[in-house]
Amino acid sequence: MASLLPNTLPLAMLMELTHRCPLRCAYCSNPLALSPASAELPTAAWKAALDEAAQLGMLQVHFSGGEPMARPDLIEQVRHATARGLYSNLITSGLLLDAHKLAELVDAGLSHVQLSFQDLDEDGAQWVSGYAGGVAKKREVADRVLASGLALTLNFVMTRHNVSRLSAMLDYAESLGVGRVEVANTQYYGWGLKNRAALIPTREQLDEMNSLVAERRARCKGRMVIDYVIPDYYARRPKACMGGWGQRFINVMPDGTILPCHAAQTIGHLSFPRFPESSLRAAWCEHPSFAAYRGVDWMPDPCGSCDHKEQDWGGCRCQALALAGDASQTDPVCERSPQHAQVVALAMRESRQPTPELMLRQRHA
Amino acid sequence: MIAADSVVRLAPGVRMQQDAARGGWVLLGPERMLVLDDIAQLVISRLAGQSAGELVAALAVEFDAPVEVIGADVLALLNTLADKGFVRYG
Repeated sequence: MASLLPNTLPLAMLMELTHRCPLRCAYCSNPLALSPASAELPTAAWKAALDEAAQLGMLQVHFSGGEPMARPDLIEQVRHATARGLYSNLITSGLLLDAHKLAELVDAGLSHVQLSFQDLDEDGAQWVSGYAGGVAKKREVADRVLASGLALTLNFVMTRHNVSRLSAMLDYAESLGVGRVEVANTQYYGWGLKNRAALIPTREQLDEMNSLVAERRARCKGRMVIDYVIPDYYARRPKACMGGWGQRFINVMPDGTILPCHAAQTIGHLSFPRFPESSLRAAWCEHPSFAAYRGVDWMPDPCGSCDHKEQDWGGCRCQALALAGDASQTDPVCERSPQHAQVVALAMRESRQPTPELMLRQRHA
Repeated sequence: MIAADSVVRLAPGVRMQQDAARGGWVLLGPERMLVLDDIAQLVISRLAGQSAGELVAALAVEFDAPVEVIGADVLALLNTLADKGFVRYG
């Protein structure tokens, strides 16, 4: 079937260099079975993946994890991406980003840094990440990155425990003069799914966030972009997860497993190719896992007959599996899904209950 | 809003490059990319520390077109790019 073949080659690659991380965030979307350091691809293999990405015409590469700075060869990888003409983005907690490393990253041609904040309050940040004193360190890192001239995005991770500080977070971002902020409610995958009942905001908190973000967007128009991600259990329409399965992004796990999205391994009946045994091109163009939910032909109703199907691509397959028990169903956060009412009720119920004890992400194996 | 006296530049972390695989030009920024048409590519390639008004005047001469027409189009384009975070101005 023609539609199972990709119309285009991927635009960007997410490289999960490692699952190691100094933080133990309870919302982490890494899989529950973390890759041990011993299974990580060696430097040469990552560089070969960058070579192939550039050859395939990809434009951007995101260095992620875990904490990508836990890899001693990160600088070498960034330098290699630069040499291949790729736009490089470092997605980091900042906790390993000292002045020396930063200077090396600038010299290697890094394009952009995305720095995460779990809270602006030390106790709140420690509660959700298991790391003491992180906020002060991150503030120092933000200053240092800006002083270096690198572009910086602040990523604020929202849960029902820090909504009251969203205004202060946006004030802080504005005072730094950063061009871009993410207000990202945790999504419920991996560890985040396990801890959903402890994290999910109430409907009223969502309304509060919506109006704070709208107000700030108007005030900062043209100066600071705010990208806003809601907890989609409350959404009317699903997110266009990854811009459509196997349509824009290719994700490589620490051990080289090639995925259409970083949570795709939760879909147990699919098996995935691995780099470098499989090339990226073969994975993208030929592997059944990438074809499985690509385009619209796989869609049952209500997606199949929906006029939004080429906007949201049926939402998220992993969420359909987690909430409806079947990865090929409509993402139940969609109001047209038969399970939608149950999902909203679940979110309302869990968000109002006393917070259960958090299960922090496992320390690295 | 960007006006004639605004100095517009690409935002930090934004760059324009050719898209070898698909043809044409793209603007690359943090977690975003934008496919550019010829006019957008031309305008962005001319951003060099001058005011938007000076940029418009130069383009009007170069393309032998009325300043008012070019000016409206260029300012609309630059404001759209600013709203998306691709350019900054002062």
